[in-house]
Amino acid sequence: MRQIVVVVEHDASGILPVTHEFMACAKILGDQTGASILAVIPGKGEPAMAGEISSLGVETIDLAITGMDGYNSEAWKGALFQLFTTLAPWYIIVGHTATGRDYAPGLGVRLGGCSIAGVNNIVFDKTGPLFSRQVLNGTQNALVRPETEPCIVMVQPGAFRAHGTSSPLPGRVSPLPGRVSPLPGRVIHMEVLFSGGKIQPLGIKTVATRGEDLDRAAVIVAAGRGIGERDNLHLLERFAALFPNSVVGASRPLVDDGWMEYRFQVGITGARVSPKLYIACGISGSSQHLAGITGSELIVSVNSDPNAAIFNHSDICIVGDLFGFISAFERLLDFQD
Amino acid sequence: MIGVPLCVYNPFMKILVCIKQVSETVGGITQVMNRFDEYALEEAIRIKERFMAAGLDAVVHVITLGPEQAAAVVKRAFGMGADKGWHLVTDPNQNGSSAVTAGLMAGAVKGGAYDLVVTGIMSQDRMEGQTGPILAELMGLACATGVVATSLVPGSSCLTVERELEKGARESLSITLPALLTVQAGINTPRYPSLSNVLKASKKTIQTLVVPGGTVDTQTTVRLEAPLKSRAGRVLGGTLDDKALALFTLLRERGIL
Ligand SMILES: Cc1cc2nc3c(=O)[nH]c(=O)nc-3n(C[C@H](O)[C@H](O)[C@H](O)COP(=O)(O)OP(=O)(O)OC[C@H]3O[C@@H](n4cnc5c(N)ncnc54)[C@H](O)[C@@H]3O)c2cc1C
Ligand SMILES: Nc1ncnc2c1ncn2[C@@H]1O[C@H](COP(=O)(O)O)[C@@H](O)[C@H]1O
Repeated sequence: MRQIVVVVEHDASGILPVTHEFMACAKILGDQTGASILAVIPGKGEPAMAGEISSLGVETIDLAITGMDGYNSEAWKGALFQLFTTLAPWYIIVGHTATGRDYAPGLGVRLGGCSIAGVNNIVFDKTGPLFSRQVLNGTQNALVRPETEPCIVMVQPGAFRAHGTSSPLPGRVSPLPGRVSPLPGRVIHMEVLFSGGKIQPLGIKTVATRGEDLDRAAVIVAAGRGIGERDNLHLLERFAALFPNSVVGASRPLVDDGWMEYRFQVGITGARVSPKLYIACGISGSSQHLAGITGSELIVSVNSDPNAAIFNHSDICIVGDLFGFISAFERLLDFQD
Repeated sequence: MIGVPLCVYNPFMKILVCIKQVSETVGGITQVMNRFDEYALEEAIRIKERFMAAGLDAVVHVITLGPEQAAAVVKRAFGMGADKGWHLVTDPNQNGSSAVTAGLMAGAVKGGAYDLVVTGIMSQDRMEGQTGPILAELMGLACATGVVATSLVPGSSCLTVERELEKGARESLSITLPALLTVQAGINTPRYPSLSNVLKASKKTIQTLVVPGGTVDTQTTVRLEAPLKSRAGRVLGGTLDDKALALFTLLRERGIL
C-alpha cells in the first residue's frame, strides 16, 4: 500500500502540538487516496514519544540518529534520505516551521521529489490532491499540483485542526486525534549513523520575553507597515487610549525596524493573543501575523486596500485610510463626551 | 572528532546574494527589491566590510532571475555596494517554482567558487522560502535558514550564526564555509544606496544570460483562488464618519466602549 509519512516535530523533551496538525493533514490525504499513515521520529531514540504516537493507531519508526546532538539539518537530511529511499513514500508531511523550512526543501531535491511550502488546505480534483498555499502577500491562494514523487507537504501551522478539537486556537495543546485504528501501531526502532560535520549546533537560548502586556490587555490596537512612519505611532497610542485596558501591538516589520519592542510583536514569531477586541491598522494579513490573532473575540481591520488578506479573517472590515478613520472615530467620541 | 567543523585560513571571501524584483503597490504598481533581500544584501556587505577592515579582501556579487526590467534591482544593489551582478533574463510570463529558480541559478554560477551565498527568507510574491535551501543542496553547500545574527573572525573559514526558532528562541550554529544562509528580517538595518556608489555603478558589469523557458517544474500552479474566509467580514459602508459611527455603535452594544 502507498504510504504517507508524517515526520514528528518535537523538542527532545516532548512531541510538539503542531505534530497533531500534520496528522490531521495526513488523515485528509489518506482518507481520499487510500494510502496508509506512518510516523517517523528523527532524534536520539525516543521510545516514550514513539509510544505516544503509536497509541493513535499509527505505525511508528523511532529513528535514532547517532553522532549528533539535537536538531542538525545535515543529519536529518542524511538519515531521512536513507529511510525514504527504502520506504518510497508517496507524501511526506512536515511543518512549515523553523525546522521543516530548514531541512525539507533540500531533502526533496535529494529524493528527486518536490516540496510544497506553506500548505494551508487540500482540495481534490480528477488528477488527485491540489495543495493550497498563500501567495502575493496573502491576497490569493495558489492551488499546486505535485509533478514528481515523493511530494513533501510543508504544513502551515494553524491551518489544519488537530482531530477531536473544535478549538480554533492554533498552539493550544489539543487532545490527540481520534484513533485511526483501535490498536496501537507497531513501533520499529532504527539507527542511522551521522558522521558529517559542516554544521555544529552550539545550543538554544530564549532571548526575549514576550506578550505580558498583550496578554493582559482587553483591547489591542495593532500597528502595521501601513502607518508609514514611526512618528505616526503616537496617533495609534492616542487611538488606543480611547479604549479601556488597551495596548498598542505591532506587526513584525515595525519591530524589525526598531520602532516597537519585541514584546509587542504579534504573530507566529511573537505573541499569540486573545483579547476581546483586536483592531488591525494597516496590516496586510500575512499567515505569520494571522497565526497570532485567531484567538481574538472580535477582529476589526482598517486597510486602504479592499483586497487585503486581513479582511478574510476579520469580523468587521473598514476599507479606507487608517488616519482618516481614526480622526473620524476621535471626533465622534469628542462629540459624545 | 565527529561533528566539529574545521576552521582554516580564508583571506578572501567571495559572496553571492540572491535578490528578486517584486511588485509592491505603493500608490500604483512599482517594482522594488524584495524587502527580505535587502537584509540579505546588507548582511553580505557588512561581512565584506569586516574583511576589508581587517586588511583582507572580499567581494559581493548579486544575482537576479527575472524579466528585462529586473536589472533595476541589480543597479540598486550596486548603489548599496555590490561589486558585480548576474541577471538571468526570463520570459515575463515564466512563473516557475523555487525549484526552477534555484536550478537556473545553480547552473549559471557553477564554477563561481563562492564561499558564502545569502538569500532572503522568502519572496513577497511566491512566499515559498525554498529557493535558498534548494540552491544549497544543488551547489553542495551547508545551509542554515532564518538567520538573525552572524559573527565571524575575518580570515577564518568558519562562521557562527543564530537561527530564529519559534516563540523567541534562537539556536547558535558554527558552520564551515562554503555555506548558504537565508536571512530573516530584522538582522540589520539595510542601507540606502549612496551617491558615491551610484556614481561608481555605471562602471560595474552586469553579466546577462538569457535563460530558456519551459524548464520542467516539480510542481504546477493549477489556478489562483480567493482565500477562504475564517470570519464573517462585515464591510462597513458610507463615509469614514459613517464607518466610525457604525463601529462605535457596535462596540457600545458589546459593552467594549
Ligand atoms: C518565518 C517568518 C516569521 C514571521 N513572523 C511574523 C510575526 O510573528 N508577526 C508578523 O506580523 N509578521 C511576521 N512575519 C512577516 C510577515 O510575513 C509579513 O511580512 C508582515 O506580517 C507584514 O507586516 P504588515 O502587514 O504590517 O506589512 P505589509 O504587508 O506591508 O502591509 C501593510 C498594509 O497596510 C496597508 N496600508 C498602507 N497604507 C495604509 C493607510 N494609509 N491606511 C490603511 N491601510 C494602509 C496596505 O494596504 C497593506 O495591506 C514573518 C515572516 C517570516 C518569513
Ligand atoms: N527570481 C529570483 N531571483 C533572485 N533571487 C530569488 C528569486 N526568487 C527567489 N530568490 C531568492 O530566494 C529567496 C526566497 O524566495 P522564495 O523561495 O521565492 O520564497 C528570496 O528572498 C531571494 O533571496
